[in-house]
Amino acid sequence: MQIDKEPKILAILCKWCSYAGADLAGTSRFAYPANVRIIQVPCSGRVDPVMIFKAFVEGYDGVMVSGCHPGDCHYGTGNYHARRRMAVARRLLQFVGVHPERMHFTWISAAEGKKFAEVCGQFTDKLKMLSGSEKTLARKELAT
Amino acid sequence: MKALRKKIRELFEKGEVDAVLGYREDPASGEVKAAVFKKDETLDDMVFDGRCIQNLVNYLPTLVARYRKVGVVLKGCDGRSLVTQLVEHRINKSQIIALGVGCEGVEIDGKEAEKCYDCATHMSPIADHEFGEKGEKREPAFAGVEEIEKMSPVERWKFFADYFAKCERCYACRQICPSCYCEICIADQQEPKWIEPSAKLSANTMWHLIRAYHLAGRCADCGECERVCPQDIPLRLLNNALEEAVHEMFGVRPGTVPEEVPPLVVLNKDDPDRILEGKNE
Repeated sequence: MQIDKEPKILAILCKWCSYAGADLAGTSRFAYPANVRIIQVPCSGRVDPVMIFKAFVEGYDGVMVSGCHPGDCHYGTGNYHARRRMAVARRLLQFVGVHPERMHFTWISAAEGKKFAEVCGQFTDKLKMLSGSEKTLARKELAT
Repeated sequence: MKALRKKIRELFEKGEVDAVLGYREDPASGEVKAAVFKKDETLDDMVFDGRCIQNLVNYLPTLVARYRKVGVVLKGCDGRSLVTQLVEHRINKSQIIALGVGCEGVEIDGKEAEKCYDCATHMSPIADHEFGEKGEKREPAFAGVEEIEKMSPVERWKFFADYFAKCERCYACRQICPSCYCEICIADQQEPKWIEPSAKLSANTMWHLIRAYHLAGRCADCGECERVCPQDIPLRLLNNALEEAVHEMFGVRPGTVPEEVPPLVVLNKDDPDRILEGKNE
């Protein structure tokens, strides 16, 4: 079953690399789907898994988190912490029934505007393939 | 038990402890509960058997504030719990005398507790004095987690949603947990309010996900959360799934190795990126 609505994606991007990458995608006029809503955080190390849980509970179809490549963090080590946290958060969400393809964690640098556009495109396509009935944790299904 | 009583008397006489935390059988009701024994009190009603299910580590932070030195009777899982408290510097080891007792399993309502099937160590990993059989260390199998992992995402969610919907948000799981000790819990925080206080499925889901995540790499699987839950939500499943994930990714099993730092407070530049891709099932 194809979902009738466009998937809604939350992208949490770090200020120094991925957000700048998204900016570059815009200034370079790379088209990427309008499904993506971006939140800027100072560093991927700022991303609390609570944000991801909340996004799913509030009804987002997919969440992507992106920061600087390992070794390139503006603050030195934020993305190494983020990697461990996101890995654990993903396993937890997967365990309670969020489809693994609804989460995407990646590294995008400020120079990779094209990569940002591609990642967004691929992620949106993947979510469109997933059936709407497999949307778990979402608030509307939570109506009791 | 005799050896344990003798040792405790000896410790009192030498003045090495001011109080000992153990289990006492109430002579009237026959119930076994946590109790503090002091120097001139009788140790005759001190017991250690299958009824001693409570995790005594929960009481230690209060006791070390009151007494200079505290002895504590520890099962294997409670020992793991103590280790997690020590590495987080919540309790200072210099104030504790750990009395490890070889545990042969504890009971809930006369049946062996489920956590005992997944027991990693019968003897506390940290003990100044050991009593009884040491037993073997083993890797827990977590049959319950395996069972869930066979399900599809939708089935999993159905399984958990049924339980989460029942949650009353009494926070008994938080209060009983030795590792849940934030002064202001994220669930009580008003600004930003991540978790709504009302007991409805969406807010309950947030609470249970956050509770489990905050215990990742810290939970010693003492099983108290599940025991006190008035709705019998299988909280240990979430804890165990993350214990398994953390062990697989970072090679750490919380509490089994004294002085091992919780994996989520340190970083390793050599972690492979594939951990971000989740488990291949």
